[in-house]
Amino acid sequence: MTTTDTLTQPGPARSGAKPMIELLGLTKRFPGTAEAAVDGLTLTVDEGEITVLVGPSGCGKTTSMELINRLIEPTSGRILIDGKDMTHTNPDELRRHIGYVIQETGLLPHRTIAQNVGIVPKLLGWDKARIAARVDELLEMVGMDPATYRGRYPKELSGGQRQRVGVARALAADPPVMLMDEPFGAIDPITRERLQNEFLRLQQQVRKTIIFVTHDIDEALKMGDRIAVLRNQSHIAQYDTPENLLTSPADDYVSDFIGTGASLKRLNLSRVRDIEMATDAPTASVSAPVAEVRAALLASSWTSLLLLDAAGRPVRWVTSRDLGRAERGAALADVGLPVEAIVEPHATLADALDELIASNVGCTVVVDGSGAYQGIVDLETIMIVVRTVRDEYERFHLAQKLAQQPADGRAR
Amino acid sequence: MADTALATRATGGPDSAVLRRGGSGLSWFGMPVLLAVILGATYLWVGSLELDTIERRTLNADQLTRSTLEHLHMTAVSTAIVIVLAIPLGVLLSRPFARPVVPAVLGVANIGQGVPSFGLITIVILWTSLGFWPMIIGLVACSMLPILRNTMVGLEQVDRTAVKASRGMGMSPLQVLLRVELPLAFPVMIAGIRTALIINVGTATLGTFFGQGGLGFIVYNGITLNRTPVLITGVVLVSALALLVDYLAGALGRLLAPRGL
Amino acid sequence: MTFTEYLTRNYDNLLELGLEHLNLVLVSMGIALVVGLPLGIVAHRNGFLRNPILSTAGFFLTLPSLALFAIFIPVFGIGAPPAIAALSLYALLPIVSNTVAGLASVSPAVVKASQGMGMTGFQRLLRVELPLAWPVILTGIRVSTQVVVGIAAIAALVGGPGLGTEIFRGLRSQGNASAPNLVYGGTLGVIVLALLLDAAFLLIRRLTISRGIR
Repeated sequence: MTTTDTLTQPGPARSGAKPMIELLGLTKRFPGTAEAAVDGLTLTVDEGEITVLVGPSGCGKTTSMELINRLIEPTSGRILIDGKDMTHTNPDELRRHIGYVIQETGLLPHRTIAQNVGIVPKLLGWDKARIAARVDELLEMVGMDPATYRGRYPKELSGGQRQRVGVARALAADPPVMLMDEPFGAIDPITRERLQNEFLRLQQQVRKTIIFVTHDIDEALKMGDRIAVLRNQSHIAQYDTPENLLTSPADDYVSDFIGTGASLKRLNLSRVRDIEMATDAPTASVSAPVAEVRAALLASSWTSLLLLDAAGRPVRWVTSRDLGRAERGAALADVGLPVEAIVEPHATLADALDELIASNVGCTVVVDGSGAYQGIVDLETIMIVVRTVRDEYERFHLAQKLAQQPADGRAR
Repeated sequence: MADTALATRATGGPDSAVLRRGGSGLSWFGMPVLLAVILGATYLWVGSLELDTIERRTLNADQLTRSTLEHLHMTAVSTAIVIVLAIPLGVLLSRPFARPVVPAVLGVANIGQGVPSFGLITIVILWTSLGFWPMIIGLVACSMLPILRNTMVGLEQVDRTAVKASRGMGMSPLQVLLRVELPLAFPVMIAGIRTALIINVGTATLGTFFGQGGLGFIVYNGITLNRTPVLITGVVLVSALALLVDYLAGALGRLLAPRGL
Repeated sequence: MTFTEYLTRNYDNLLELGLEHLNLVLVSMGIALVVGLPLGIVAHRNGFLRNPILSTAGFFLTLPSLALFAIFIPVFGIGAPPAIAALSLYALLPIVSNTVAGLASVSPAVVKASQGMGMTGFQRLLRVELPLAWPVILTGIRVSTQVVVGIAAIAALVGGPGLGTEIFRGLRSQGNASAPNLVYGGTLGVIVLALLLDAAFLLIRRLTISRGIR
């Protein structure tokens, strides 16, 4: 079981990656207050990992984050980034090398999107051509067409688009470290979900070392490679991987914070790529002769066949009856049902389940980054995962109870 | 015309909070103490001078008292009239039936900002004659806008839900106006009155050019006779009067303001 | 002589007086801006100095204009200088208070983000805070200008230049048949100048305010 002794760096054995951010006894005492806002926070974040600080409002998580880029000067303690002590360097210089995303985005309303993204490169003295190229690259990266959005102003974007620009802006000078303060907090749930997924995919490419603040445990479980659950004054209640947090919460505070439905929440932790998806579904090209398609369907044990376009992207589901209509002259591209439930391998099972429930067929299609067909996740696959997780979880808790309270009938 | 800026200050958007904060000892007693010091220092300075006959003709207790009283008289009468005229007019213009004419009134009010008070009073005098009442008409014309505008703005910004709730409890429109809207609009209206007062004190200084005396007489005598002690005395007296009137109006507004606002 | 006749005959004279008047206004506004903007910035950044600065600027606006003009005569003598000094002080409050209000209205999130990206205090002021506060500051400048155009007419009473001299001439020749024309001409000139300056501000607004915050 994990202890709350933060100085010894608890949690699972670390993979041997090098520490990128080290906070050593970071303390902030605001003048005129009896209690420190942040009291002796010690935390190490490994290179390329997302560490989430999560806790109820007022626990000091935002203050802790602002101590790192020294928007708030620490009263005592040290900040090491990549092994170098940043506690007394020039704060402006320091901040230019730390990406920073906040909930309200803080885009400059009087500057265009391109100018906003280019702020830090400009501060760093890049030449114009290099900035322009970088801006386009970043907008592309966050899924916004540079030609369309470059010259727009923040007020002309939706909340989700603004936050995308906020992320692009933070990445502009390719900082090794990023701080994200509830970046998706002010966005509607559906867009938030999408932005989270996009961001995780982006992180796969850019591999930044990130500290991410949220008050939402579900977001923490989804985004974090490691999660620090904070109580008052940024005391760490538990610093652990999401799996360990769910299966072995350190104490009642942590388990209360995680709340009910822990096994459902575990669906947030399993990625589609980690489970065995069905790859035996019949597929055929949308431009193939109908007879060939029917043959493929008949040769399988499935009742529907997935039509793919030239690039291997799923287009439509067709049944035997749909093929009959095609034989009577309808185009293959017009029969059957459009494929609506599509996820990528890094999506969580919870996402896959969501898609599946909302779709018109009982399964979700998995595609790779370019949209090409990979496999199928159906309800049964997900049910198996849920069952195993639940069994493991219950076994674990039973064992824990037996170990802790051998002769006590109070056990719930 | 100073009224634009003063009205901006009084109706103030975001800035009114900055400007109208206070309640500390300094804001209650600072101004009277400052005025006493300045007046005292001027008295001692002028008293220490050897005044020539020309200076003595203006700088004597009789003349100073008379000018001050004339000045106060013009200020008091014009302010009283402008309050009596502008507040009911502002209330009328804030009623729903007046809505169509409001933009026109505000448009005229905006153009009115560019009218020089000196020119306006001269025109009034030319149309009528030299005299106390023509001067008063000029003053009223110059100070009408801030009260009118602040009354309209003050009533406009009253919380609509408070009005609706009061109607819902069965108050008549008149009762709502008297018991809810006017008390809630009071701070903004009093700021308008205060502004009008300052304009009147300031513009009454021009009274001497229209044969109505006032403290402008002392100042102008100082200029034309090239006698600095006279000029300084006039400037100090009229400035002190303006600051005192502003201070008293502010204090009165604070005392009368409904609690909770 | 009808007013139209007066206008056609005195067109040159009125134009010259109008230019004098405009000159008076522009010089005074220039001084007020050079002093008022930094004062506003200081008042915004330093909570301790905010009230003293705003009260002082408010103090000048409370003084009767004739008194403010007159007080500078012993220093500068008769003519344009005392008028410029007085008008500059008059123009101060709207500029200072709107600078403070404008800077205070800049979203804290934008300020925090700029800081978090590593802008220095000066860069933040120049590139973020002032551009965002500019619409409010410009309104203050516009109000100041209107005030100054009107009050500048009084400069004539203390021997200053501008359209006020025409009004004053009319007043002194009261009873004369031409007197009303002089007063109308001067007054109308001031109003026209005020309207022209207001139109100029609309143009400046268009040209200097980013489309992103319009």
